[in-house]
Amino acid sequence: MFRVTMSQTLASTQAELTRRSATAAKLQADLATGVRIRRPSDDPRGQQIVLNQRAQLQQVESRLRSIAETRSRLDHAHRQILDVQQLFVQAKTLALQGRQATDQSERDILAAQVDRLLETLVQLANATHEGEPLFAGADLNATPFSTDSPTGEATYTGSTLPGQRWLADGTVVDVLYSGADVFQPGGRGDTLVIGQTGAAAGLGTSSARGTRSLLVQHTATLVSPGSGVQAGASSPGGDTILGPAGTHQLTLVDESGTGAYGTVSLNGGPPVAFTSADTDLRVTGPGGEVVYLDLSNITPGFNGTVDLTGEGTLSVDGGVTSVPIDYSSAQGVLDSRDGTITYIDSRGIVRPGTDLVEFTETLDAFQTLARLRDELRNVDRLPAQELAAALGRRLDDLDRISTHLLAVVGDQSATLQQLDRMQSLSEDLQLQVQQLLADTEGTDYAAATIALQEQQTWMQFSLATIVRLFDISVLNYL
Amino acid sequence: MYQFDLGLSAIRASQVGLRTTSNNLANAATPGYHRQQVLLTDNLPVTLGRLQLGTGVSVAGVQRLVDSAIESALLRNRSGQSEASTRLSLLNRLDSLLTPGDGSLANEVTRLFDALEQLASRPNEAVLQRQVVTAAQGVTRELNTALAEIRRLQEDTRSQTEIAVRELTQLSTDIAALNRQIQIQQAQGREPNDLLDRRDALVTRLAELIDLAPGGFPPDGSPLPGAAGTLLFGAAPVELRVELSDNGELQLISPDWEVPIAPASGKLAALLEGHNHTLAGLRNDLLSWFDALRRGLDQLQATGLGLTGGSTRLEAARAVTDPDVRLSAFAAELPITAGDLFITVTDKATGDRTTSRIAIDPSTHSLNDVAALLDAIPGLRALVPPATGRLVIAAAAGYEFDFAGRLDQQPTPDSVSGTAAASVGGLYTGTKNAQWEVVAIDSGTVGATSPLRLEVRDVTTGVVLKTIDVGLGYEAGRPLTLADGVTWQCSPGTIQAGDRWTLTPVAQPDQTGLLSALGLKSFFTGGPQDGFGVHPDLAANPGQLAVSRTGLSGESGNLQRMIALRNSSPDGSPGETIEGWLAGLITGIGLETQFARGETDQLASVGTRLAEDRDALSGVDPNEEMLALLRWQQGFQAATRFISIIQSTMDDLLRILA
Repeated sequence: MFRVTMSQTLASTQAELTRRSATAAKLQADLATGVRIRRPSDDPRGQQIVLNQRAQLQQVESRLRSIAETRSRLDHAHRQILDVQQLFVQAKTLALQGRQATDQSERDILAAQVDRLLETLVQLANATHEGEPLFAGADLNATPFSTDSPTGEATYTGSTLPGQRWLADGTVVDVLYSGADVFQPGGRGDTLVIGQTGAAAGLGTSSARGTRSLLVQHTATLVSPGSGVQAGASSPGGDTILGPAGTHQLTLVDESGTGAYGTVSLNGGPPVAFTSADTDLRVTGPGGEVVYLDLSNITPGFNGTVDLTGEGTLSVDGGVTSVPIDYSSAQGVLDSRDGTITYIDSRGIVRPGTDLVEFTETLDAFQTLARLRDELRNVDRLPAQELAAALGRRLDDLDRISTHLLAVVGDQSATLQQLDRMQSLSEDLQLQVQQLLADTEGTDYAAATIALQEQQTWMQFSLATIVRLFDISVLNYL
Repeated sequence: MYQFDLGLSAIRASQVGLRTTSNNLANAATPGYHRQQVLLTDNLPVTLGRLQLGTGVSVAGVQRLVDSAIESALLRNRSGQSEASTRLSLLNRLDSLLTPGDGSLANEVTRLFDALEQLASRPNEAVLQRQVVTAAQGVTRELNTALAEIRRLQEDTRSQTEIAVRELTQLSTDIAALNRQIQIQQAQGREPNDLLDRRDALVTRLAELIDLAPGGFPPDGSPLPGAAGTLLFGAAPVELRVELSDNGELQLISPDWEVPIAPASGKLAALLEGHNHTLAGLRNDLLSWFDALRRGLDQLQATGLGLTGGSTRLEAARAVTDPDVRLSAFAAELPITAGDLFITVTDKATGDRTTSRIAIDPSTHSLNDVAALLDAIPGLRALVPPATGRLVIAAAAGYEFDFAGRLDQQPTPDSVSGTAAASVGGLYTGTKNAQWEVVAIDSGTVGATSPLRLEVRDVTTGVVLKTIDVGLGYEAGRPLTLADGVTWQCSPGTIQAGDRWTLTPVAQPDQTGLLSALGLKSFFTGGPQDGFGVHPDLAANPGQLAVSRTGLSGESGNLQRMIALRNSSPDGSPGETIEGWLAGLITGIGLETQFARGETDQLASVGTRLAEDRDALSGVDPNEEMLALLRWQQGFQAATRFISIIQSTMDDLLRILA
């Protein structure tokens, strides 16, 4: 028979009570704090889940903050571009009115309105969000556009790299658009040369954008040998003929037979009488072209035609630098101011002058408005037909810029939609993680309450039974 | 007078019985006491004719009731319980130390990555930059606290070990003294029950310190082996020395053998295991974990650019003892591998930058060699002052430098006879360092000739990455994408077939780990001995946080790389993220604690059952003893009554005679 001693019974009861008390204390703490995992050893696996879920929850919350911040910035930029797009709608209306206007004063008023639109455009392009530019790409310290008020030329000083934002899980979105990408689209159409020099768009892809003034200058006239005619003293500065040999011709008649006197005409124009004393005779052609001739040493008895060669130069930087005209189909003319090149077909150049070179579809938003303003003012003094054509091209430019702005808006909208989806998914995930975290970490109040009651009952039974056992003793009967 | 002797023997036996029972009652609550019982034997009879008559009773002895198998099991249980409770006590402290909560290490790491992610939405926001630095300081603070606490726990463990060893020596001394008394008693033919109980109590306390051979003291009086036979208890005091080995391990040295002894159980086993494995292991695990985080952030901080731009002077935070010794000699503290280091020098006036590559091999290069290589780069000075042993790099006046590995603005012309100038731009997005060459296939004029092709080749693999046409249709100056985010543009001019340029896109500006190892423009500084911290320059000026790869205020490519560390599995990790790795360490301690708690409970439960089994034989039941007391009392009364009757009978006989 197994002997049971009171001492051991007491020790066992005491150990059991201690164990029950510890369990009850933990349950009480679970109920008091609402958390069942307060240290890793309470539930190591649960603790790992809690740590992982907390980290994930923090990530989701960071992502939601980033999405909100990104959305705010993108929304602002979005509104700015919509404003710009609306501004171009207004400009188009003004351009249409200008094309139909018959009075220059009316166009001047329209030009003033366009000028104000240009000012507004600059402000919108330099808009900031919480002190940071919206359209400077990755360079937040830059003022994106600096403008030259008279010309409307805007220089982009921001970054060509877009400012990107990280939205967790490796998702990166473009938030800070490069102003160059928004306001200075990179297309290129045909090159137009407008003027009287005979220059045309050359073969090759020019890199200049907007417009350039092509300065065609005469430098020298060469007379084919045989006739004894030479360029006059005023020829370099006074001749207005350009072209390779044969483009212009002199017709010489030596009436004296000795070279003492006769007549000379340019390109079939009216004959001009000369004597051998003429060293700087002005001869005008049928188109008003002029040459100065030295007829002091003509070949006696020479009667016939003489080919002239008009040499000159081309410049697109106002004469700062120039290149000799080579009368080719693809003559490159460098602009020393920005290093760009303009390809000119110089084969047809016949006279000096200044032509307007327009690189269609290269005008940026600023240049488009500036050109529209200038053309409404007709600063180039274009004839009515050419002015109407120029305004028509500005309308095309306005449409092109508007279309481009709508593309940017569409791009932003797509990003905003992406942000919406991310926000929605992140909020769902946040809810799930919070639920899992609560399930893992939180106290199940019902279960804990019942368990605590169970422990209390056990402790009561333990104490009651031990007291009952101790009631019975031999001592009571001695 | 046999009758009187017979009564007297009964009275004597009852007296012994009463005394033994009283002693049992007195020791009913004495731990380790074994109840005793009186062994009675009847005396030899006397023969009267054909009759043999009894002569009374004798006390053959007083016996302890002991079950040696249970006692042996209890001894092992006590040793195991002591070991488990000591281990649990230590693990409980670690469990508390690593408990996640506000301000805990786990929380601070999460806060650091959160701060980095928040900064990603506004990389140039000073408050958010400060928040990152503060969070990083929180990580180092909590890590330093944890490491210091582990160090304190190791010191505590050592102190406890020394106290336990002193207790072991005292116990062995007391046991040896008792053993001698027991042997004397036994030699005199006595049963030294109480001495045996006292020795058993001491042996139990000894077993709580160290493992003992099963079965307790051998009956032949030979010593009791302990610590797997390396120690002998019972003959002489056992003295041990507590020492730290060269690798920092706590050891118990027996002066007799001068070799470390390895307790298999008991408190000492738990203390040694706690000091040498649990605490040292956790410390190493935490250092490995932080090293992975530190290396990642240090490398990115060193090879990125803050909003304050490049540096004009940098001094390494870590020194070498001899700058002329090759770097591999310092591999333990400066883990540097062979590879390339790219350094970019920028002319602050013009913005022109030049990226140079230096190849570093720690098996052949000393720190002075590295300094010489850096010093040879135009616009840079580098040296290692003997007084400090720290590498110092300084830019010449008007220059600054960085390790971001940015592309040169102009490619290197290897063989160019055309007039067109080439330039590169963009941001390299590849993952490996590369070397490309751009070769002209045709001759002609940029923007005019058709075609005018340029072929881009990877020099290493020979693979043609792309062919671009800069002839007719190409607008001079317009960037064309070559590959991986790198762009190429030509100015107006001519290109001749065979013209060749090279460019070196850099993804890993420091393949060597030199910057991180030396603490050059690093994120963190310090070490396990003097404590970790955020680099003082960064702490003083959070604007130096290298969020960018280009230095542009809105470009945060480098910050994205820092954030990417959160979800990556760094080298040396058990396939976990930084946070997952730390969570694993924390829950690992939690699991060990939980296991130790379960083990302690289980051993206590087994101990209770063994104690019940022991008490079933050796325990004192007061009721039982009270009944025994009554029995002895009745025996005594019967004996005295018997003597009285005999006396009365004798008186009757004497009256007949009278």
